[in-house]
Amino acid sequence: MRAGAGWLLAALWALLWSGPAQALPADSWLVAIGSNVGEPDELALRFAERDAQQFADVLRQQAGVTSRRTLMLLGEDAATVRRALQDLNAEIRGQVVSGQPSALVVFYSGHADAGSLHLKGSVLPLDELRKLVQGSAAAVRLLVVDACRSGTITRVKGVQAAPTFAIQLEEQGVAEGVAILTSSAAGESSQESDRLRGSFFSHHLVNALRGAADRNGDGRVTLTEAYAYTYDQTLRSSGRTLELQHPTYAFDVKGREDLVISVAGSPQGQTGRLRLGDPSLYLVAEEREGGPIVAEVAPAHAQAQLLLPVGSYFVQQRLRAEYREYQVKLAAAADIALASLPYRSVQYDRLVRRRGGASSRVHGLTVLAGVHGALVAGESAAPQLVLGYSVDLPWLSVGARVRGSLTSGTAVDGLLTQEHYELGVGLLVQRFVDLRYLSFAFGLYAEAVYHRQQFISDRQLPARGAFGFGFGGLLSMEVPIWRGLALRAEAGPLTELFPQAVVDSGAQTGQIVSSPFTFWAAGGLAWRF
Amino acid sequence: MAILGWRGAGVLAVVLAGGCGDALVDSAYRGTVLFSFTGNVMGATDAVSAGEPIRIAVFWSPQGPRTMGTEGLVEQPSASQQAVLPFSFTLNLFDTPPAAQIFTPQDGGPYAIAQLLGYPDRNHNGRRDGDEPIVAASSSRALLYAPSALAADRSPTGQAIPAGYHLIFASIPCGPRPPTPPPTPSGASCPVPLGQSCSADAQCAPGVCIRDFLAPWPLGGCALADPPPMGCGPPSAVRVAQPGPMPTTTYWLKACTTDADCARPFPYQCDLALGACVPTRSLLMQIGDPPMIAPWCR
Repeated sequence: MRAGAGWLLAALWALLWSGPAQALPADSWLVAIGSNVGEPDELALRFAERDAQQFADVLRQQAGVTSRRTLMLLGEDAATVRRALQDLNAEIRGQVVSGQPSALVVFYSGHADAGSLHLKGSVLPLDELRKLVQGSAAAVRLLVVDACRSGTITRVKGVQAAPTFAIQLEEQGVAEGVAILTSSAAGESSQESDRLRGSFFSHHLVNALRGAADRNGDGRVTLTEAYAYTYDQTLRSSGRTLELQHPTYAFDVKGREDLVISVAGSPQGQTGRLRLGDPSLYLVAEEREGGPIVAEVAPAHAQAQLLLPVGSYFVQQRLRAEYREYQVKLAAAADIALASLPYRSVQYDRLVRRRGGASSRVHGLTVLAGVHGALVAGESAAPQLVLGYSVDLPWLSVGARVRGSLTSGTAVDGLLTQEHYELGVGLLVQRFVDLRYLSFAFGLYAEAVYHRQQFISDRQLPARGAFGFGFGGLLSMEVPIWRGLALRAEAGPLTELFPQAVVDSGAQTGQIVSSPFTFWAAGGLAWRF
Repeated sequence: MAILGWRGAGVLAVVLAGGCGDALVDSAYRGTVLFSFTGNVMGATDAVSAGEPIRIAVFWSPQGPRTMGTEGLVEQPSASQQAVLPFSFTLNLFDTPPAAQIFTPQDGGPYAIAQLLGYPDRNHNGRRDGDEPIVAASSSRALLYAPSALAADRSPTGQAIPAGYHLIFASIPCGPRPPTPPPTPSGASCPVPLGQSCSADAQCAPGVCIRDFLAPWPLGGCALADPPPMGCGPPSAVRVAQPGPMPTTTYWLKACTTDADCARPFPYQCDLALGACVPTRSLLMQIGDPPMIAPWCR
């Protein structure tokens, strides 16, 4: 389903990129309708009116729609909306008669069913809304409906999602006609997100107009770019929920050029431009990490830009190998490129451990070299090689390890040299504490160990093999160096249980279970993937 | 868990916790014991200061039993133990004598013979240096090693000797072995329980209960004085004389070829120099300045 939609959109771009684009006329009108309250038996929405406000803001800031030509209908009933649209249509007719080109954009966010909008206990039939918009004298009429089952409005019109659409002008390159965008297909719900503080669809549409949808990087966002971006991002966001949401469109527009909805231009007034970096997902939050989400955008090309209100933002760029976190202070008319700012790199393992990433686990490999203390008298500290696999989970990191070591010792008479091999297979459980430039971890390690002692002597002694058990604490430190690679150092106390000979006058006279207390230290590389 | 059961899981946990397999060894371990014997060191000498340890070590005689004193003896590495006087010791031997210490007489099979000597290891290097005097010796014992079994006619003692180490009474013929076997008592058999433990002569009648002959006899032992009373002679007996230039005491002791023939615990053994059951498995080393070192052969 999604792959098919992607193919359709790709074909769409191929057709549209080649042509120039035309901005909305200077005297365009906007009607932004938001209603948190629907029918009495419907749960009140939280962000429908905010969606309408956000949409109006971005059109004022980036589409040239003036406040004077913006009607904000927040929490109004159907009669008020109907009357406002009728009055506006009359105003536009007068404007057209005087020869001024005009456009009408109607945005609705709120409750609805398959046949009508639900406005504060009253209903406005979808068919009536469509007729009010279609009947406007404005050359370009754009209706955006963010409501459950809003796809009905495109179905009513008899238009289904098509592989391509083109806005063609017959004369003077000016677009003319009706375009309808809906937040979901017929039969689907449209969802709000507490995290985004808005509906998926409206949030992505607003960000599209802020510049995220500017696929060709020309500084302008066309209707097709906006729709394609919003479709893709809404589908992605709703894919994390129980119900997918497929925005739809229906266009009946004539013209040779695509319709430009917003122009990045120069930041004006209380806005600033934020130039994003490489294509990836960006999360923009107010003030700090964990703050209210301003935008979740996934521009398709490098150097995409967003026009944002003046303020302080936390920007998280989610790359494949790491998250980059920026702190941005956007002043009025500022033009800031993220690439020029310092950032904090957060590796995958850290993301998982602080439950901030998309993945719930990160795999890791470690290669360490080190020593562990002597287990029996006369042996030196044993050099060892450790190979490990680990999984970082939100609360714990667990891993398995294989290690080998070799040490030697000489009997007190100097005539017998023993080589002591160890092969251990163990489990490691650690809890990480991530600091700014490094991570500490503490945990427990347990392993089963096979010991083998071989003797180098004229005495022709058979090798000895024994199984034992090791247990210890481990304190480790990791310093990320590059793309999931980190330097790791670890140390800790260790005790091992194994059978040991009781020796008297050089001969074995018995056997005990020995549990010497010793240490473990190693350093090397850890790679998370 | 269902496969193991709770009891099996418990056993497995104990095995895992305690480990299983061969016991690991530390630097005190020197290998498999080839031969072990015990002894006591006692006495005093001005050559050793109070509290100074003495090392007891094995010294091989490459020239065979004709060696006099300590000249020409070669110390066996890793065949020593030291302690402060007076002390008892257990000396474990982990190596066979080097090939250079094996003596092969003209009329017999190869063997090696060694003295047990004591010296103060003042530089703690584990071996005797030239300035470290011999201060202890076991004048009546020898350590004998046979690389392979020696038949009686090729043995230095006239007794069949199995391969390996043996602690023997120092009684080896210096020259060719006796051309005739030792005499045996004649006449009627005497009902003496030779070698049996005893506390009074009556238990050994018509023999005697001896407690100190060649070495102390723990729990005593029945023997028959020589010449035997009433002219009788016990079966399976061998005549053993007190060593010395003028032997004054001679007994008929229980003859043997292996320790099993003696049927008595440590320190009794079948001494392969005497062919008799005697308590010679333990050494008594006397301190002297110099110590008395009797010749092995006579």
